[in-house]
Amino acid sequence: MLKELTKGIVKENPLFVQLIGVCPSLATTSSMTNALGMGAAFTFVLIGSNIVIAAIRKFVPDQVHIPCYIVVIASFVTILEMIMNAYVPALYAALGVFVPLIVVNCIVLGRAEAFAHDHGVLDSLEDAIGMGIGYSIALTAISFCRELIGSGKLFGNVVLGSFYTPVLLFIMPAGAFITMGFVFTLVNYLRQRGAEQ
Amino acid sequence: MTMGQIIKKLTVPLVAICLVCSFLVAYAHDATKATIAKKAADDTKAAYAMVFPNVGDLTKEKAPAPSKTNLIKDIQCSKKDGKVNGYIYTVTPSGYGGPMEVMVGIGSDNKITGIKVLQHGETPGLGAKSTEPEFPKEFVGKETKSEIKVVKSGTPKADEIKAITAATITSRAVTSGVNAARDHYMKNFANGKG
Repeated sequence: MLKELTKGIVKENPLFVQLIGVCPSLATTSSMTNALGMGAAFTFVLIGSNIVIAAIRKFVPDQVHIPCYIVVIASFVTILEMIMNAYVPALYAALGVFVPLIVVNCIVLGRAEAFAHDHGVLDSLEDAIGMGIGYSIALTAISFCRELIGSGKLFGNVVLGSFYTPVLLFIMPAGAFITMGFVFTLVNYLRQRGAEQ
Repeated sequence: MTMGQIIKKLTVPLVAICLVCSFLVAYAHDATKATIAKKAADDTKAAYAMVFPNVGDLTKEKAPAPSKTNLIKDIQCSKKDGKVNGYIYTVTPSGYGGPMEVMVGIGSDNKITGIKVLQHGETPGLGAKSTEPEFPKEFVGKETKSEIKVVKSGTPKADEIKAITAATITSRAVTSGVNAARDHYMKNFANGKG
């Protein structure tokens, strides 16, 4: 029953396996705080958009479904941004810059197209939670390497003392690509080995 | 499909969805507008107190007319017990990632009391470090009589600021904003001119 939920975490992980949503991941994995923030905001929007799209899927004509979905997603993000700004200023201060990025995060539209488009509300909710967790885990894993190597910190706290000279490259965009390459290789190697056994 | 069918089957649902969505967004905007405005006002107040700890009653001063070379956006004059004890500037220098907004406090003793980066688009982990406490602290106590310069390495002298590692452009941008405020202050308000 929870099949739709667990598939997003490992088997169909949006970042590690489907390789979608890479662009915002480059920008938000320079520190673990940012990565977790992006993961949380993203999960929230995905849950909302998946539910709404699954609910209206029968009403939306096939030929114009993409504009309809984009309108729904963009409205959802805009409303979320305003509500966060007004009622949870601390969270908004931390996530503010990432929230508008979610509109262009292709995982949201991807899940609407690939899943919510032809599944019920409950299944779509499970799918959204699973994908959200999977994406958050992926972001956290990449940001762990980048923040540790690039600035010697974790969650903004110094963990590698003065003996360590941070490799600045890793918190720059190029470092994001390098880190992702290695993390993707490792994850897919482990997945393949798991599949063979 | 005929034109009539297209309108009925595609246009009507699309327009309906757009209308519902715009209505919801408009409603949310209306419902949160007052709270957001109040929060912005509170934030500005908190920022004033941060860059100028001794802040008193504030009155707006006339800022220079907006132009390409003018970085000063807003000037507030602080009065305590009827006496002017300093000025708070809001300046908008250009950083690495576009315009920044920086608040600068200057006391009547011709010293900078504090600065704060309010808005920026700098690189996370590099230029964004200008919002962390270390960098703004360097400006505290600097004399306003001479231009503040940025150095990349070594121990900064009295009129120098040490740049953030790998974010020299950001450091220079913030300093150029502080210098604009400092310059304006020296020309208009220093030594009881205000």
